[in-house]
Amino acid sequence: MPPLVRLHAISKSFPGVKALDDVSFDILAGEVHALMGENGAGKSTLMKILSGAYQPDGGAIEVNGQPVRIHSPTEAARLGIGMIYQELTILPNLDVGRNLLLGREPMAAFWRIDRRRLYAIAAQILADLDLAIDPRAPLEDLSIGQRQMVEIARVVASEPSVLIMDEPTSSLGKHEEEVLFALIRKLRSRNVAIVYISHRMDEVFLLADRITVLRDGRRVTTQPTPTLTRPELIRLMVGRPIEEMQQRAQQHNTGQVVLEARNLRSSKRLRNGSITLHAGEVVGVAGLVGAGRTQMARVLFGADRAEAGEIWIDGQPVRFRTPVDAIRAGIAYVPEDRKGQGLVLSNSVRFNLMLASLRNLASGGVLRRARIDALYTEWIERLHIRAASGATIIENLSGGNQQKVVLAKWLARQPRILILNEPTRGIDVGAKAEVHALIRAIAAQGVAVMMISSELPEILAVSDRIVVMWNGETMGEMNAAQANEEAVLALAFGESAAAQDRKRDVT
Amino acid sequence: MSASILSKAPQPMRTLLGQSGVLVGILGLVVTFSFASPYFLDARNFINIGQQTTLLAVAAFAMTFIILSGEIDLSIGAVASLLGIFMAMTMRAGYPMEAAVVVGLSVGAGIGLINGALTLFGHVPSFIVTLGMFSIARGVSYALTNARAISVADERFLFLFAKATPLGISATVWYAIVLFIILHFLLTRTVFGASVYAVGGNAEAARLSGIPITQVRLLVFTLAGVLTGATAILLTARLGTGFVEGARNLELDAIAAVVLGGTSFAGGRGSLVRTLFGALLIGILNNGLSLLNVESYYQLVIKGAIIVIAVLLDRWVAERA
Repeated sequence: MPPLVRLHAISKSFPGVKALDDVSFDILAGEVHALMGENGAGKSTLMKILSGAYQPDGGAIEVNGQPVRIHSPTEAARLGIGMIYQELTILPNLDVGRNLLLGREPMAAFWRIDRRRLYAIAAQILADLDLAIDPRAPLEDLSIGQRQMVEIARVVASEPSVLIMDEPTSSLGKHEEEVLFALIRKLRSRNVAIVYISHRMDEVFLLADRITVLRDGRRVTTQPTPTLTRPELIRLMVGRPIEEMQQRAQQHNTGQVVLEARNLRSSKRLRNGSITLHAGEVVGVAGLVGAGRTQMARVLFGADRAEAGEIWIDGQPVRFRTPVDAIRAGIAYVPEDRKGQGLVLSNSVRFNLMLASLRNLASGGVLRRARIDALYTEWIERLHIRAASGATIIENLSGGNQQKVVLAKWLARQPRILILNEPTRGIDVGAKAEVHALIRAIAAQGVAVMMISSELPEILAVSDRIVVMWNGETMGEMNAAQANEEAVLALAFGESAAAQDRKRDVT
Repeated sequence: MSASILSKAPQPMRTLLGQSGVLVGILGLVVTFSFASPYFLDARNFINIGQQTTLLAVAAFAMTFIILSGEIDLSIGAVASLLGIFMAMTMRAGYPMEAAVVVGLSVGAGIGLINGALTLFGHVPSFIVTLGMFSIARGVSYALTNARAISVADERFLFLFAKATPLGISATVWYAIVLFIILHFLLTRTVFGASVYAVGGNAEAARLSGIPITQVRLLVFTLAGVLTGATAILLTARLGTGFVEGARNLELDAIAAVVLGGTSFAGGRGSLVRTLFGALLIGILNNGLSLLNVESYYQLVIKGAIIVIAVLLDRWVAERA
């Protein structure tokens, strides 16, 4: 049987990154084809090309043996390709029925929507998928999991021949997961081709007929699921050549606990986060996108409220209502979204450097020119920030120099605890090495550093200890000296340390 | 040094270029009007322009703080009229002018604080909140006065805030100069000023840098309220009365002055110097058109067109640079 969809030698570059390099991928009717890989392996890019959101730089797409060009999601839909996104795209102000048939409402005379027929059709769709949801219920009354099911039902209702699911279970409860799996099997039996992207190993081994692994924008393998084992799959996802970054820095851990957090929960995807930070130590926080790492950092910094859990600093319980409280306690936070959260882009380098230290630069509320100049000169020099002058608008600096300004802004306050979120995202290789050296130097001065990163080599090279999160929970931690990529990634994919031990015993 | 750093001129140069647009505009108007009207270059006329500009300038200072912080205030004109009526009534009731001044400034501050609190804690856009406040102030003004003017008989008040001419320059102008110096210092040299730029430029980055953004915004609204009170004092002293239409369209002229000066409507970028030039441009335009006996209806049309064209030109030049 010829494949329903064939992607042939697809390439796609973004400024500075080759996201996909000569990737071929095919999908058969009536199969569940899992697409696996680390963060940044190219899974989402590949699916966005298939669903028309991106245009490939090279390669060809065939649907039903016919070469096609897919310029937009609308065209993809016309070709029978439906995509269910991670983020909800349904409209919360409409009810279930209206959402299910959005844009395809049955019409009565005078351009009015035929509501009776609309709800009848909607009820039929829901019944067909075994979903116990009232089509007249306003979406606001539904749980997040139910909304996700409505989202899925909407795409399924358009009867696609290819269905792409990107992390569909991330917001589902146990029962809804079962409903979804039953639905997937039902669709498969109706000869629908399903591409399934998930970070959860259990699901993949439960559902997938074939598995394709991507790594660094290339296809590593495509194999039938029964021919793969979990350890093999993890090895295939990691297996990159070990870079020279691997050299281990010496430890400066003085053993003194500076910050301890237990069982943190926040409304946004953090269910049970725990971490301990020691003076002079870099703790790397690994995990897949959506594992709850950023949410934990934001709770520790007072940017989000904790619903549950405790934080101690120097053994004293603390409760941060705003970042101001956390900053007073000696915490600094470098966010992952440099432009949206780290910088005032429309203002100067000097201004951005001042931002976290305004009080220290002033007496009686009046800023002291001499102190500002001293701060500027000191940090431009210490971090080798390349800017034409202090008055240069920061938007015009390179990503690396911008990031150094964000770092310098906090270092100028001499924090005791430094939380870094993806500190080298989007900066070039040279600047990256500089930032790594800088992080080690900061820790050497006794600062407790927590570094969230989605790049495993970075985590392994810079950290003293590694904490791994999965699905909103802290899964475990290990000493960096004994860690390797496979072990970290196994935890990041939700394989608990205990489960690994069990498997080791069996084999 | 990388090319990206040089691709745009550094700040001092850009500021100069940014302001030169307004300066060219002012120069162009001066030349045009001096050819068109024999009275324009008269020394007395310049004093006139100064006086007319100052009221607008003080209101525009308030608007500059508001716009820099990323908000808008549509109520300034109506509130200034209302405060003028309050002050006139206070003096008519026999209280000394000091009491009237305190009433003007403190009620102004209170109204600003209410605008701010509704915007920040009620999560209603400032556009809507201040639109409502505009209507409320208008309505209260009519109810209090039955649309009649309330005259001010307190000679001390009139002398101190309008008629006095130290060094031959009207008191109004002096007040505006003093306010400008204080506010410019506040904006460029203090923690508060830096916080205003940060909040307007990127509120989330400001919050994550430990700037108390809610307090800063509340303070901005309150300060704008106080400055509206100051505008009301100068206005009432100049007119000698408090009445409903005392500061008609003042908020629109103030917004125009800020924008013509080149302050970004999105917040975070701009200055009081720019606003001063913007106010001067509008003052000269108003004065020149009156001298030429252009009918007031058409004055509005011409003014509106010039504002839009000026900003368009500015955009166009900035994109080509």
